[in-house]
Amino acid sequence: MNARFALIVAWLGAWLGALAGARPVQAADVFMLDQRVGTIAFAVDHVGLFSSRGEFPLFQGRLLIDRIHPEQTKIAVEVNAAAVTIPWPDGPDLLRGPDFFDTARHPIMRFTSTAIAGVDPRHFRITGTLEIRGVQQPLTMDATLERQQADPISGTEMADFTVTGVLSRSSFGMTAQPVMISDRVKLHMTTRIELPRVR
Amino acid sequence: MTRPLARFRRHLHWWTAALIVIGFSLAWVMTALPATVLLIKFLAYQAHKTIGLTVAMLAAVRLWLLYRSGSKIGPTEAIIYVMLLVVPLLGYLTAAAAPGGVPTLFLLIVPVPHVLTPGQALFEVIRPFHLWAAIGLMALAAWHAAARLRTRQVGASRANRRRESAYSSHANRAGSRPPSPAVERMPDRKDPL
Repeated sequence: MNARFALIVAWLGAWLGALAGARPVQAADVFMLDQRVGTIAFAVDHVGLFSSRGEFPLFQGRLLIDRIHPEQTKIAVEVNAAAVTIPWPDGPDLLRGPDFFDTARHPIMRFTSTAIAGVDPRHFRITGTLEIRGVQQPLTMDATLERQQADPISGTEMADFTVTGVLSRSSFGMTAQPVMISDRVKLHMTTRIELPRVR
Repeated sequence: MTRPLARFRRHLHWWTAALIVIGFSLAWVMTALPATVLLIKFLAYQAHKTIGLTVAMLAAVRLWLLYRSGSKIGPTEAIIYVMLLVVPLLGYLTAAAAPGGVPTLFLLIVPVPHVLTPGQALFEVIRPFHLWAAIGLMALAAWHAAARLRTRQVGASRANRRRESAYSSHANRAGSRPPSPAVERMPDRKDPL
């Protein structure tokens, strides 16, 4: 369980992107995160007729795995809000503007975990604080271990995760266009992490 | 052709003309609308798509009526008929390929399935064809309208000349009544498109 939990925690850091090769930077417990493997996406509904999916392609973070006390594992991720993409004409400019992410004043979004708990061997709950536009709100997300396999050549263990969550954009002060853009924003993140096998 | 059918065909002609002018004008407005008025932009796009689909349906009905009546049309009219089908088809393909995945809702309530997978590259290939075909259709329609107006003017001036000549010949014969302008026959007009 500890090995799996360590994997989960490692992925949780990577949920905002991919691990930089998933190699520990030091002492096998601290990992630097970036977007090279993995995605951070969000989806909103439009008048109940269709939905749009956007992405944050630039982020970086730090994952600290405590193998003795896995519940104390920490994740801190910073996302470049100005890099947001969405496939509408002028959509990214709209989202960067003062009605939404207001990237001129708040270019970075942050997530910092406060607790990680196992629900079952493949599902985990991540609780933390999300900061958007300078507003901090608690956020709970569900993590699922989709696949896990050992790589005998490198002696590492690879795991694919998805993390999902839901937030209310109005709770962060993003109240514009309530008819056309739903208040409920679905988060969907994927990543693959590679860790030294834990025995 | 029966009179009610001729009237119906005339109505179809003018509805088509009005719709292509409105749809063409709306295209410039909807693309210029900023994303800050997303709902209005969405409604404008759906109105444009509805107009395009309606124009294509009207063109199909008119072609069928034309085929049934056995009427002959000139090359300009034939090209216009083709464009009335091609421009909406290209518009539909543009909408289907648009990366936003925005649905096509006829009259805002009937979803029209998209046959293409949305993608920026495909969208950028198809969109200019739709744009230039629409500009071509408008140019042809303007040419067609100008030609018809000219035909009318020429016909009217010939009729006036005949009328004036009838009056002047009558003036030379005192006591006889001039022919009534009401019985003056206009030149035969072709069926409108």
